[in-house]
Amino acid sequence: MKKLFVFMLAVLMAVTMMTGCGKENDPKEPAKEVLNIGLNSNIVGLDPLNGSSNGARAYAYAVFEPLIEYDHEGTNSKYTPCLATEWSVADDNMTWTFKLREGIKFHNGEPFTSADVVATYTRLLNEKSLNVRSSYWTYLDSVEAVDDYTVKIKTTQPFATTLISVAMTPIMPDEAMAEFGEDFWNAQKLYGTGPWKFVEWVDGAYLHLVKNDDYWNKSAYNPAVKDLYFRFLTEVSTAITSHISGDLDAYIVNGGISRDLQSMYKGHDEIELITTETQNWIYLGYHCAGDSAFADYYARAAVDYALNRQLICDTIFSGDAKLSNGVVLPSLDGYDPTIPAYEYNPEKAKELLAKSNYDGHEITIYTSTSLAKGKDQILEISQELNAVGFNTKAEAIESAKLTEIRKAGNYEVFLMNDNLMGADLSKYLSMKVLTDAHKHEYDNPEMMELVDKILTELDIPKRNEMLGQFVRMMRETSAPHTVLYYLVQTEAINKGVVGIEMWKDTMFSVKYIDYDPAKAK
Amino acid sequence: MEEMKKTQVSSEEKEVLVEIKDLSVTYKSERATVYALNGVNLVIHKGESLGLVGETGAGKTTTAISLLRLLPRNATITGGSIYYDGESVMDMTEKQIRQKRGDKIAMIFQNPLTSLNPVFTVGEQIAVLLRVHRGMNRREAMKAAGELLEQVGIASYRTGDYPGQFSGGMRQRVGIAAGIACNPELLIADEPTTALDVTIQAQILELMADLQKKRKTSLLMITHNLGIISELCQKVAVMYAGRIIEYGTVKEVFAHPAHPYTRGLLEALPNLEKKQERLHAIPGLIADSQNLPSGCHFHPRCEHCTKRCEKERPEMIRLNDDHYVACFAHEE
Amino acid sequence: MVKYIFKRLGQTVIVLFFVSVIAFLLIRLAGGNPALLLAGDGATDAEIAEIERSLGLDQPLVVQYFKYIGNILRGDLGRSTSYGMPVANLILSRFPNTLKLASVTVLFGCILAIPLGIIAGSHQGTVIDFFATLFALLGQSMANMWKAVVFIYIFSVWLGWLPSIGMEGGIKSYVLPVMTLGWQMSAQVTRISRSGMIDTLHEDFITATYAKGIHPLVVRWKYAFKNAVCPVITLVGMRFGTMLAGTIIVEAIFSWPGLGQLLNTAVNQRDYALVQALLLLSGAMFAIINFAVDIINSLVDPRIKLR
Repeated sequence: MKKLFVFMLAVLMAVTMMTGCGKENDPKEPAKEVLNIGLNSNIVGLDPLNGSSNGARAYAYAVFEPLIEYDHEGTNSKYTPCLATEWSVADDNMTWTFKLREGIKFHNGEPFTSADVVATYTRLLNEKSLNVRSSYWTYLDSVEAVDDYTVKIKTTQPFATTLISVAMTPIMPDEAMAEFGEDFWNAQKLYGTGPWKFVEWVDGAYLHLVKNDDYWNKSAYNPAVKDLYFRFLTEVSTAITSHISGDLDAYIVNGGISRDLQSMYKGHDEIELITTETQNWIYLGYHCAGDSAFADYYARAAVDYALNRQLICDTIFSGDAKLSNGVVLPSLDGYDPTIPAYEYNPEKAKELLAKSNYDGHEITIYTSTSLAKGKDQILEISQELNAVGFNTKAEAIESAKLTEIRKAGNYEVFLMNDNLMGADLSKYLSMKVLTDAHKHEYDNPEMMELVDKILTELDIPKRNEMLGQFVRMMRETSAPHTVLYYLVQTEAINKGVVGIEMWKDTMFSVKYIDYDPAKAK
Repeated sequence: MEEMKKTQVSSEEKEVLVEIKDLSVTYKSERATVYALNGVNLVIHKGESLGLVGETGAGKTTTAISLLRLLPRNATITGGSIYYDGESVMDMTEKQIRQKRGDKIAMIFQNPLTSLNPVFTVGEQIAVLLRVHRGMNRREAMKAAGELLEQVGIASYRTGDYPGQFSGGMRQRVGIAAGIACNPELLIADEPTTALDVTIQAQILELMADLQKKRKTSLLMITHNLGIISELCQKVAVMYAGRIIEYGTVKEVFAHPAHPYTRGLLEALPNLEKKQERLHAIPGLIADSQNLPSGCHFHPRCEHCTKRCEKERPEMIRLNDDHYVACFAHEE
Repeated sequence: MVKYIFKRLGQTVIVLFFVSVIAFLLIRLAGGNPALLLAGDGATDAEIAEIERSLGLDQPLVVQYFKYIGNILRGDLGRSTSYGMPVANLILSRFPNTLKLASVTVLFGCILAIPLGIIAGSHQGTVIDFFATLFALLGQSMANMWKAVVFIYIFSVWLGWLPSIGMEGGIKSYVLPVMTLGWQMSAQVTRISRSGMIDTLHEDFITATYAKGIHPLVVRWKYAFKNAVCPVITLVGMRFGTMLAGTIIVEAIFSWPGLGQLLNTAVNQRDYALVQALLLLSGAMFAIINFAVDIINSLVDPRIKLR
């Protein structure tokens, strides 16, 4: 008995000793040299041209740099020089010339030259499934080096957002690409020109960056912070607990931190909840051909009046969603406030439905299980539609399945979200309307012509006017989508942390992050 | 008739080893209280073999267990005393009684199929006694265990075998080997042959008689088999409903049974010489230890029952030097 | 014994074969097209077909299966389509973390639970028994998720003693995840140890052992417990195996880079190679552990015969 008691005492003592030491990262310390940024999704894959999440992009743009930078304001953006010092476009509006900055070195000492730009853009030309390509460069035609510090980039046709695409393309070192190929990121040999150097990625745990003491733009940006960690914490409530305990300096969640979880931060004044009106918007997409109930205009129009959008914003989103009169959101260039808002009018909806040739068959409203509050929304929508005479049921399916049925056009209506990358509608217009990736099969040559013109129009005021026309056209035909609302996102960042940029298109940057103790509480 | 003076000992008798005086033990459960022992008086002399006989449930095993202070938690000693070699067992410290167990007082259990630990070798189950009580190291103890097995008729190389590899009879021999390992002063054998068939029984008894003669151990032989007692024991004590109701030499008690119960037991034995159609049975059922009859516990079944028997409990009366009985019928 | 080992190895190979077939079929039955998911929404049918060809998905199922098995036997686990990395790299980087967590949990779980069960079983009905039973009840009925949150709140937020995320804090990082996972396991081990002890202590041979004058502690911890230990070993083996397959919840909460979340992501992304490799790994782990448990139990209890 005595031996047992002594043994247990020893174990207890050992445990106490282990845990008795204080914590690192005591938040009461004056200057912080290590920052921990929590993300609620893993960074899966380190290829800077293939980042599939905002976290992946944030890392890529901290370690690698594009030729120019911009403020994510769509066609209204201001562009600042980065790896390029000046640029111009030829009269054909398709050939762009960039003059590169001299004297920049990669993290391993290699000089930055036009060869690197060529290698990067050549990848975009050859590898069609790269995320940066499909989002911004489907119109890329060619790239060539004029000399060591001049490049020419050509597009297949003029489009107004070319500079946005350039700003979203991080430059990779050509020597490394030639030598390592995809081991450059698979074997974690990454290096770029940015103010942060890649150290290590532990899948499922963290990504570690360290300050680049030889950054070419030190005069403009020289932070006190030396180490930066992205920590992957998928379980939001426990991540918030970690944040409050001081293990994180910021927590950024895809789609924002929901209202009920925000209350966990109450009383912790050292953490600030930052709210942004985003360009993440929710819509219903129709299949407008064949047996679909929504091949009929009146059915689609009925839906528009049957939906009580404001109610959903207030109840399901607790106010974190706002209405828009069309696909051009209020924060976008080209927004036309004169277009009337969507109206909730069940009586009118019933009238319109009566005029349609809807035969009463059961319609399934699909959504993806990974869409935040998707299931709640379609349940409510289903009820509202049923109230005016539709026969609908709601079904949330796995995103892989949803992708499949959309590709095949095997649906009548679905609820999904869209994120405007670069704060511009061009990707939406080209992919979801023009090339009809989701097989809406909406036959309206006039609309397609308008979209075509918008995509190639370079005169911004003219483009904005055409966008307004497009919205009106969409409202009149209620096809191929109907807009519900756009989301307001809240993220949590400690007050002392400065330099994190949160943009309306939901992307964020930590490139210029720093810590200012004066601001902390 | 004089009452047996409990501390008196016949001059020709040997010294007293065990003296149990007026021992009463009850078992308590949520549902009932069982009065297992109700004033047991017992004496065992050094070098003597005493047979303790009685039906199942009479309290024989409880007596033995009490002597070793191994009563389970729900049992209470409600009265009386136990003296071993002059020392009070109930007053000993835990350490003292532990030293006696296995060394001075050893017990052989009833069911050889359940009284050996199935996951340890038989060698280990004997050797442990030698390590604990004789300070031997592992090697020495195992060697000695092998020798003990030989003494009980099992090959010594079998110390590495497990109980499951032995038959019932052989397992009992292992039990006996463990019992004699430390050359105890008192060996308690609790119905050692009940679970075995007759031929094996004979072997085991022969073995025990042999060992007793050689080592001069006191033997407390608990059994309900009168034949074993007549073969092996010098003295006999008859137990009924938690009390000793007759005590004396085997010769005397078996030839002239004084208590009606004892007489009934002897008469119940089938007689190979007489022609019998039915076996003689003692009328009635054995006393219910939860609900004991008043007065003499045997009175409901006794043909000589008087009013006094129903009210008073008879104490032991001395019939002669070799014979005592607790029955009013023998009071003059 | 040697014969038995070979026989079991043979059985294990057969089991793994079935696991591989099931893994292969199961992920394909889930529907969805990995090529489509890789290519993205905007891809043309031609691009998707191209990717299908490069992944070998255009071949008939049987051909795909044999190619897969052939590769495994050559040590090639394939390429993860969601990570863009060889599967072997992924598993090799994550598996040790799960192994460490599982091992430490099992170790501490047993160190705590087995003595607790023995003491509780030996002293049935006493205060210690009451607390042991309460400990077991809470451990099994409280959801791991809830336990984790409470622990984090007490030890990280309020007291500030322990880190709430990651593995880098050395031993300190293990404490909360092990407590969370371990409590549940300890609960079961305590209960089984306790009931095994209670049953054993009623046996005749225990009284016989006490009658030999052996110290009660030795009687209980050596002679009694050895009779009760086999179900404990089996239980611990099973729980260890489950933990090795990855505990999604605990790993997610503590941001522990183990196998747990990997399977979840892999299935969502229809990452065939990764899903198959993970299921095969789980199967192999279980088979090995079962084998070890059988051998250990047969050594402990001679009544268990290996056939």
